Amino acid sequence: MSEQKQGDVATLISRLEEEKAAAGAEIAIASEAILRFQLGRETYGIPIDQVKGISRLRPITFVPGTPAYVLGVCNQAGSVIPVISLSDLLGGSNHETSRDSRLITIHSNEVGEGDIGILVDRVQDVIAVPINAVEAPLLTLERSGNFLRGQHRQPDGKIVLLLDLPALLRLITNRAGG
Amino acid sequence: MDTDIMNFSLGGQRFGLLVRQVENIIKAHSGLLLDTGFQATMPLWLAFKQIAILDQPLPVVSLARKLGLEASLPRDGGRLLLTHSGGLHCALLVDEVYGLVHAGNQQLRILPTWLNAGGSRTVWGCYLAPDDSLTILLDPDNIFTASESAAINHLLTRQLEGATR
Repeated sequence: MSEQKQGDVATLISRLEEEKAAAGAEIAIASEAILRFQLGRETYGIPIDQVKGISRLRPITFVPGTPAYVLGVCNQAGSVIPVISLSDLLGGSNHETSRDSRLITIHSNEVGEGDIGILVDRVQDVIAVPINAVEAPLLTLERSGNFLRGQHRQPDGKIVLLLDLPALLRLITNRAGG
Repeated sequence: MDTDIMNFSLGGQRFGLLVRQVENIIKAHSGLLLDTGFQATMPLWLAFKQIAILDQPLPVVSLARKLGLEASLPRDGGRLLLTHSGGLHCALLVDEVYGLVHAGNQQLRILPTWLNAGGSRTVWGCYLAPDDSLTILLDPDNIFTASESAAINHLLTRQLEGATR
């Protein structure tokens, strides 16, 4: 093989690798890692990169003078975080917890004052949701519809409701602060 | 720097006030609280009482009721914490006083302002005890809203005027 051909092959391989890398990057950009969790009969999802931690329930200390959806505060490894009942906020009223209940700790600039724990019935898993597979939320979801940025229909037909976390947190902090 | 916290219970839950905000603690037995005879429509959490050892009537606040907690009836009548709120001298009725704790700065946490509904700052922080439990810290100065302070002040003035006639 001549030196020129060797150079051409090397260029081709290099170009192919660049294209593959670019394609890989495109795939990574085009899908989002979503943490799925259960709340009542619905499955919700939030971007995993907004999740700081998932833990079992800890004792919650009631704080007087807060809205009903604020369950209180809990000690999370020395940090005191407010705990929100997502069920209550989204229109349900189920405050019952079980062995499967989990506290998802999220951090958002919307809150500005630290982390918030949201109480969910069960954490499922993390799935990759292609961005082009996110549909507009159903208009029939009256209350929670305000906090949804879309929904994802999974291959088995089940729907994952994708929460608009910044909108939700804005509402929590504005509402509570009066 | 350590901060001294006075621990007390309300409706079965532990709360705290900074010690420097409490002037005195009085056992709230029935003989101590005298009716002022002052007729007024007052919220359930508020009463004007003449405390036998003091020379003028005070607003007595059922702190449990004011905070929306289930008001229990302490067997021994509870305790009155004499303090100031919204510029008013007042007595806060609590169930039981546990005592003082010395809290280091690393054991105190300031809670986010958005937790207080309506923008009040009745709750300002919490104390992390060595056993990992949390004590909610109250600011007595913010127990009354501005309008409540004004209304109480008005009633108090009328009460004092009535007494001097």
